[in-house]
Amino acid sequence: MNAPKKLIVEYEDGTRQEAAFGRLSSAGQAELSALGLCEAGAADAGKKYLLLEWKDGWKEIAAVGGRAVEILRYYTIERTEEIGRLSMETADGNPELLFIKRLPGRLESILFIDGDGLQAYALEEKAMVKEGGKTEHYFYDKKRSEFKMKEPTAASARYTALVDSLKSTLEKKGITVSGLLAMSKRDRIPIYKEIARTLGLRGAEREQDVYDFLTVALEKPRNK
Amino acid sequence: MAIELKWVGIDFGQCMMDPTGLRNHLVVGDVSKEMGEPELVEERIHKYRVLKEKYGSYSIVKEGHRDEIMSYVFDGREEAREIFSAKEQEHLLMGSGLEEALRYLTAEGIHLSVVAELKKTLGAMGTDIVTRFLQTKGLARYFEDVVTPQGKIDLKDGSVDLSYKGKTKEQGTLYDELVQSLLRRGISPSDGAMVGDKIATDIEPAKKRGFITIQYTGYIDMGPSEADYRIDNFFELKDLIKKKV
Repeated sequence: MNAPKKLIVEYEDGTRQEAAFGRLSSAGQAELSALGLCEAGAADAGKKYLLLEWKDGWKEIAAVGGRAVEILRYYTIERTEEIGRLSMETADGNPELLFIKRLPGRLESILFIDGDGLQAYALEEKAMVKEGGKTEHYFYDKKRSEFKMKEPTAASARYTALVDSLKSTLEKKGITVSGLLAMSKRDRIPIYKEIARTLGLRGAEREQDVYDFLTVALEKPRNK
Repeated sequence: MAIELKWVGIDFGQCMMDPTGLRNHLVVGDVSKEMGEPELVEERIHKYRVLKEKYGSYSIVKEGHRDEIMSYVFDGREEAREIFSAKEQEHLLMGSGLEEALRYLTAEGIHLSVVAELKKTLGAMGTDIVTRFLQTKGLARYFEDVVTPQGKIDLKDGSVDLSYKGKTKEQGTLYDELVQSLLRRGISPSDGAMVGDKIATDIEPAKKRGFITIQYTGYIDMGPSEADYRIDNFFELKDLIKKKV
């Protein structure tokens, strides 16, 4: 097998960044394999396999790293997990679904920002549904009359406050909005990092989402 | 009938401090997000779980292998160290009814100490997990000192009495020193009580030295013991204890 060694990313300006291929997660390696950029299972050399057999006859194969020599332990954890499910209605199909893992029951509000407008949602538990061992706590549900969105002015005020603090942070650094937006995306990143830290904005799943949001906020400071 | 006491010592880990809130998605997740790396949350949680398998429990990993958390889980990122400690504190909880009980006991005029198995060498106040917890949760004002195998920390001035150094709860040597210290203040062991969850470190050695023992079962119930009393939450201390005059 011709094992891949490096992953090289080339940018518009011709510069390149590279990283060892082995640093990619197995999911990342699988995606590259699907794109035909490496052989399937490129990082799987020397892997060992587990045959898992259940009492009901079900069988599964799991691959483990070549360094594994024996089972250390097997145990199960039983606890009540609280996971937030945030679904968004879409214009043309199935809802988009996001999982909220960080203190889901303490999420207080959501501001939905798109290119054309803003919507603010105050979250307050107003309904509970028990099904067997599962309990669902409803903090917002468009289909239930007891839940209401905040007044449009509340959404606008919150967005304006955020944009204002963003601008004031930039001013303190002696950077103009137009100057920042004129920079290449790569050059903006260190500035965006600092701004995000100052404003207390963190990426839920991808840091790039924070940078993209900041660009939108700077480009559309008067979203309605 | 209430027991009359002049001094109460309370264990720290899984007793005063309830680690229920220390979920990996909160601590490892928050640290990674704080460092601008939300993409690495799942991978780091996996690595943290690997360390737990390696050493047997998260408390062992945190107490004895903190450097490995930084090097293995957080890829040697030095900034993770302080954020990790801060997030850990932020998500630690207090045992149910703790503050109410402490308020009651201090109002009664009962002297209070934290008696903890701290393994890490002491630094300035607030740099170890116990005093940091007391400060963060606003509990330091209720206690006179923190008794540990690293020394006894005076919470009023931060000074450390090293006569406790190297003495442990499990061997009982820490309680021997505590008995001498209390006797010098006119408090006999039978006027004192030790509250804790671990039979081998909080109950048996303390009882052997004449302390009244109260087994706390609010986080983990370690099973039957020779403890004089059992409590499921700290509210129960209000009914159980009153000041000896």
